[in-house]
Amino acid sequence: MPKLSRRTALFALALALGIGAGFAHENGNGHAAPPGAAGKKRSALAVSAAISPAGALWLIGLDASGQLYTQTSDDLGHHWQAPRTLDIGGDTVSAEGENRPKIAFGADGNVVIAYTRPLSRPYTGEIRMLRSVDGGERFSAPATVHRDRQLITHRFESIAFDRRGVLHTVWIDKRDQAAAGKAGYRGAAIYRNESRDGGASFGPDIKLADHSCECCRIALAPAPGGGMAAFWRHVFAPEIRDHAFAVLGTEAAAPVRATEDDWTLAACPHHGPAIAVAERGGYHAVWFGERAGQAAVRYGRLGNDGRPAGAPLDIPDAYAEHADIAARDGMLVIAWRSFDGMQTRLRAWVSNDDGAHFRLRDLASSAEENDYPRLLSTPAGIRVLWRTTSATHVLDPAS
Amino acid sequence: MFSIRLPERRPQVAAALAGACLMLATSLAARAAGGPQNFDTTTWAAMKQSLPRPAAVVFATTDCAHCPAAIDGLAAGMRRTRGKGTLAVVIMDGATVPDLRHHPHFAKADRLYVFDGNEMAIRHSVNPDWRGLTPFIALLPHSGEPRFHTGPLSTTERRRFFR
Repeated sequence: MPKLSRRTALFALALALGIGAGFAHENGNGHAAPPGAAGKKRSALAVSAAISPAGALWLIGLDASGQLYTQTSDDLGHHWQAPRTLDIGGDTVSAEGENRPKIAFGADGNVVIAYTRPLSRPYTGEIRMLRSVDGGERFSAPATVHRDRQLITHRFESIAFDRRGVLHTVWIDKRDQAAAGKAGYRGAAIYRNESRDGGASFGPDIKLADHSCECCRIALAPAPGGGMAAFWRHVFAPEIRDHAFAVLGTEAAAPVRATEDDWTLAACPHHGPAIAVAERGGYHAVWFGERAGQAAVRYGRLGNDGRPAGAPLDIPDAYAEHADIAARDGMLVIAWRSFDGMQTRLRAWVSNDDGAHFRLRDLASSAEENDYPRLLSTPAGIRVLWRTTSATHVLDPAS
Repeated sequence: MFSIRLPERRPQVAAALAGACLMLATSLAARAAGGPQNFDTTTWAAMKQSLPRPAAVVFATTDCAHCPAAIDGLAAGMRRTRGKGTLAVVIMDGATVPDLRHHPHFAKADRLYVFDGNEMAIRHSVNPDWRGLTPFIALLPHSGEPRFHTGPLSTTERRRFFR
């Protein structure tokens, strides 16, 4: 705990009283600028990243002026190009916690950037997308990707190209909650659409599932058959916030219950899950939840159909938060952050045998404000991207 | 002229006293201006000492679907204290959001704060076991330590607190 000298304490006291007296006099009419932080300029730490077909690392986020920007590195974060601001025509952009801008690379020079634009009422938004057909040299003006234009929630989008080149956009949507009105509706819904021309046009909005959680990110992973799998926090009746799984395009079937923590909660966890394809079939999954009163980040295997395969394991860190997971070339990595009372630690569980055994790694620590760690599958192997106030770290979890 | 005798061997007490005064001063200023105040790693300790009780502090986010119900319920309870109690709302993701006071639910707070600094450290300063879920509610009774609750309070829990 920081110590304060008598002199410092006196100075703070005098400063406090002085400032207070000043404001009390000058702002008595209630029209002067507030002293709080709301509206102040600062960089949003929440970024997303992706690896281009050429192997470059691309970041997407907001700068201190709230402008959407990209920044690239050709050597996995050792050196960075200057940030490049994107023209989004005055849109504001959500970039905090579970909801942040995203970037995805397709074939033939297609690059898309998606973000949520908050609308005029609280809890509302629409999903916007920019498109490039020249590998990110130039981007189009943003366009709204969904057909529903009500002043409601269309937020927390996730985007990915599948192996056939279809662009999938999946989001949390409250049109069914709005339609239910006073009759009530459990949670929100998951909607999606497809673009078969790299984001130039979009098919109809398709409901993937009723009753999703309202504000957790949606995880996507390539399905073994060539499509796309989604994994999200769901609200199972009556109010159990476990996770559901579905392969996009199989909307006729109800989503599969993929985790069985039985966490009954009438609140927002703000902890979305992550998923990766397992080499020997099925998926590796990581999520946060409370099971029998024990809150933890857990790792579990899912079958090809998304059902749990075996008992989950608690990550060996009681304060683990916002974990991500990636698998590549026989290596499986789970990365998370945890706060020990003084600093945030970036930690990882690393397996070289597809999740049969793990070793715990401490990768970095910082007393600065920091973002959730994100894992990247790069040509050089899996890397952890971790942004703190002063730097963007790209780390090898195995070294 | 008055003097304050600061404890010679208790720098933590001195820090808390200075923090409480700073909070009081900025609180007066912010309420006069109608804007939110900063909530950092020192605010909670000062708040516990200085908030008029009974007090309820709702930690919320701008995208928390369950927070409006929690705030509404506590605001209704506070009205029954005839101005003696305090409803504070702390917005975890509000630092860059303009016009928080215009939000229909946040406007019901007697005091409005926004997180300023390392979110994990601030959460830890409030309750090390708080994992970021919202609404996270701290109930400060007339006397004694705060009680923490995740999610909106039930009618029974609200009645018990405001009794």
